Amino acid sequence: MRLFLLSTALLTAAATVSFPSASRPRLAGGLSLALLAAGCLTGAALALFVLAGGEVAPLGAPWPVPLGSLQLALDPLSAFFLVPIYTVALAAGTYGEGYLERARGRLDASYVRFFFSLLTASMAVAVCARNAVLFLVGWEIMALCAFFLVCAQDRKPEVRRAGFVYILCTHSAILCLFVLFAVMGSRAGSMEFGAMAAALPGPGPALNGLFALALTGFGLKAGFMPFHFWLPEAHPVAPSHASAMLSGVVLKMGIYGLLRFISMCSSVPPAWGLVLLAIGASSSVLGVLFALAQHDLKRLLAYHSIENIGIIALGMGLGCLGLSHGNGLLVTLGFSAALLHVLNHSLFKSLLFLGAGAYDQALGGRAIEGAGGLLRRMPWTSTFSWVGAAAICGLPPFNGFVSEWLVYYGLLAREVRVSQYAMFAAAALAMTGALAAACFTKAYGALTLGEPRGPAAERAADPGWTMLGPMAFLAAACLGIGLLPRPFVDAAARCAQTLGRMSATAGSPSLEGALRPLTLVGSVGALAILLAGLFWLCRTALLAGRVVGAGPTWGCGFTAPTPRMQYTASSYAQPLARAFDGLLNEVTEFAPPTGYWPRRASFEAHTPDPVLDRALLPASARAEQAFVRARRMQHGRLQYYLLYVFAFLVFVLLWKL
Amino acid sequence: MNLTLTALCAHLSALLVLPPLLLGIIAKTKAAFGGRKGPPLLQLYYDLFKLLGKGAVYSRTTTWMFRLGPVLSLATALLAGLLAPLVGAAPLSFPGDAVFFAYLLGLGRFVTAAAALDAGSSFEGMGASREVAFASFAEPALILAVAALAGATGSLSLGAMFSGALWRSFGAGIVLVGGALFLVMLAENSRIPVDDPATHLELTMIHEVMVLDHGGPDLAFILYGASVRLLVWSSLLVRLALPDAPGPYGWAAWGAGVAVVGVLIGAVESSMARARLVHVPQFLVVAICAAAFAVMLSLR
Repeated sequence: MRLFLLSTALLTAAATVSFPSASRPRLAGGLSLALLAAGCLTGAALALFVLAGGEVAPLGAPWPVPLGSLQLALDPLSAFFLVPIYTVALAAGTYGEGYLERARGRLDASYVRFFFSLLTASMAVAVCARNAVLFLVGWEIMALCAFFLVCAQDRKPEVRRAGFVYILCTHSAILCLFVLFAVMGSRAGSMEFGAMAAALPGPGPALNGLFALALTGFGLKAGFMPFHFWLPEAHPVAPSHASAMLSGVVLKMGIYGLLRFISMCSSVPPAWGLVLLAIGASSSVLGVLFALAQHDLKRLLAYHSIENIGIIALGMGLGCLGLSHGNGLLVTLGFSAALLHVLNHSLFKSLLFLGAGAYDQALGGRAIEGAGGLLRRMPWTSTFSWVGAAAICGLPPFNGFVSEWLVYYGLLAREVRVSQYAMFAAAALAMTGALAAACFTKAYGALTLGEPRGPAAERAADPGWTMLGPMAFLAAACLGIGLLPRPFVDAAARCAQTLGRMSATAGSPSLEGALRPLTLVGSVGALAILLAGLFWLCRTALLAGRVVGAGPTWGCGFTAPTPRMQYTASSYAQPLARAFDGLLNEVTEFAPPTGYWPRRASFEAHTPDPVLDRALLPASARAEQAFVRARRMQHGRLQYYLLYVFAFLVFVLLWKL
Repeated sequence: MNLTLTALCAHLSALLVLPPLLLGIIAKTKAAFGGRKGPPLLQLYYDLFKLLGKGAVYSRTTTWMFRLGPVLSLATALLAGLLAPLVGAAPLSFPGDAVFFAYLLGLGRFVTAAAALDAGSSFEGMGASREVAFASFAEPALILAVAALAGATGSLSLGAMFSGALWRSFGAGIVLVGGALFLVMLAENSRIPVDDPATHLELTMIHEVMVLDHGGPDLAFILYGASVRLLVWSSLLVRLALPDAPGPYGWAAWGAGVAVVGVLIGAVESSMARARLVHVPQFLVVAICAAAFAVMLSLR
């Protein structure tokens, strides 16, 4: 655990070192990055040691904070979550140096570095904490750092709005957690996780109430569907490497919390698993549907995080069902699918956000409609982003498929059949996959394929290798896990065993039977690449010596096509938007061309969020209006206030009579 | 995996050689319905041969994405053909290969749509948009059909699911699953009533319009890949209905079955018009519902 403290100290140093040396930006950046890298590598080494089967003695020290103590421990579950934290922090931090360099004048580099490194350290502490107070302190520092990162460009009104929405949500979440831990702690008489677990009530309304609190508190952080509304607001406005961290890792803290809570429960009612399955199915389908309707790249990616959190929830639901039905294989399959998807999503989502940052800087905006042709102008960024896009759609041979395959296996295989509803969740997952492919061909196509639709896209160019390097690393990781999935699945399965006391042990025939196909999945994926390469060579050989011409895209007889005539992202999504109109409620503004020589016409479509824009904001506006009426009583005239006091006294007197 | 070398060779040669013939059968059926003589049975072989011998013209707008589409979609079609059983066991078979099969076809669709968008033409954008939109309805139907068969057989491997041995225990389910898979097959292989493979340049087309700018060997890869996919789908339907028997008799039965599927597709195409595009999702929702009922039956 000493190493963990060292890593946390290095990260804290990385946070602060930038301020005294801020007058020399290169030195500040280099120092901060070096310390961040040292901290992340130390922590990651420790986490990998634990995942490989190593034991780390827990650390306990008294702490003057009431009820608190410095209890830190590393079990495989904590270690598994540390891996994405440190990996993504290192990649995004490196990228961030290039990003901040290019954004100089618009972003305060020291400010961003401080909160970025502190965010990493606080998440690591929250994951390793074994005392509720320490956990909540880590959690709150994480939430506040995320808030300050969201508000990095606080001169823009939409950034301030996003910041307020975020801070309200995160504090509602922590309120639930306060209540949760207060109830658990008062039953146990201690705030240590171990004592709390021992004192949890048996199955019944009390335990279900605690689960509801955990689900709300951690679900608000994770972004389960009705609680997702802060996420598409907050993630787009942060600096892109911070968005990568927020979407790739911070959301997973909610998943970690929920898993930790489940691991404390000695019995899990079957209803929990079903609730999680329902949340997972609805979050994944609705998340991707709303993503499809977005035109802001980072907002689209934020909705996709909701989708992926839904897939993780499906895995967790399966694991819980396994726990309640005593099916060890399902416990392992479900939880390892969820854990592996946590890792996978952190890799490809941060990759996509880093790509989005490069596009954002090159285009001067996040709208995808005005772009186009960037695969030609930003070849590296676009190639790496393509890997991320294919991986997030769950396509082989990339990593997203491996975890989705595990979820499918848990949903469909007979030896783990405990609930008849699981089969229908598989249909939801299938639809999610196909819709994600629709969404990413749309976003990727509008951005990078075809011809540029505007002058900014014309001039765009790749950023330097400080920004490209981390993207290359993440893309390689996505492909690597997809081609060689076994070590990663095995690590996730070992973690799942610490979660479920009854789960299948490693190497047991049933688990081996379920996991062995993954090796084949990886090899067939490699075979697909090889075959495609072979056909590519065939084509090159066939075309050698023949006439290979280059011409314009065929305009079907029209001789003067312009880039503006390309299919736009809105029209691309239109068939699906119409098919799901009842859910999406797209708002369109259409000024049709009129007259024989029409001058201008316009069409605009946007999709407000159903929870935030259609429910919460109108409700809060109405509440505000109601309170405006009450303000008439607040006018500052002292004699009336005295009258209120007198009236109240009379009222009390009459009431007591 | 008890797979003999002969069986493997038979599988590979059937998979590689026969697909264009199936399209010939469909064309002949349509011609017979229309009272025409129709193109020769081997027309697609001639077309492929001709296309492979040609040069190419690439649009200046395009990048490597445009060149990746044909080769990777052909690779996924062939690998899907290795996962799917024709006669006897499939060369590649493992628990969960049904899901892998669905996602391999998804990968093919993803790269084809991306290649279509790379040309920067609104026609191809339109085709890609429709293709991915309809796939969003076809995919759940396919996975539900897989779920129903997994529920009935207890296996997640295509070979065990499509063994033709379920008529006694799961007869009604087989009818429902077969119906759903037939509808999905029509949609995934761009046949009437979802798409019309006969015409190239109407705004109502889906798959044909996606490949407008491909020519030469690229077009040959695309046409061949499409025919492989159709053969694989037909084979799944045949294997669902007919009991499996290895050896020459099995191959004869399988060949006859696939030919019947071809005739059936031709008959459907001759007897109905392409549906309006807004009705295609409804058509596929029918498939989803049929498959969902089959799942319920399998849960007994």
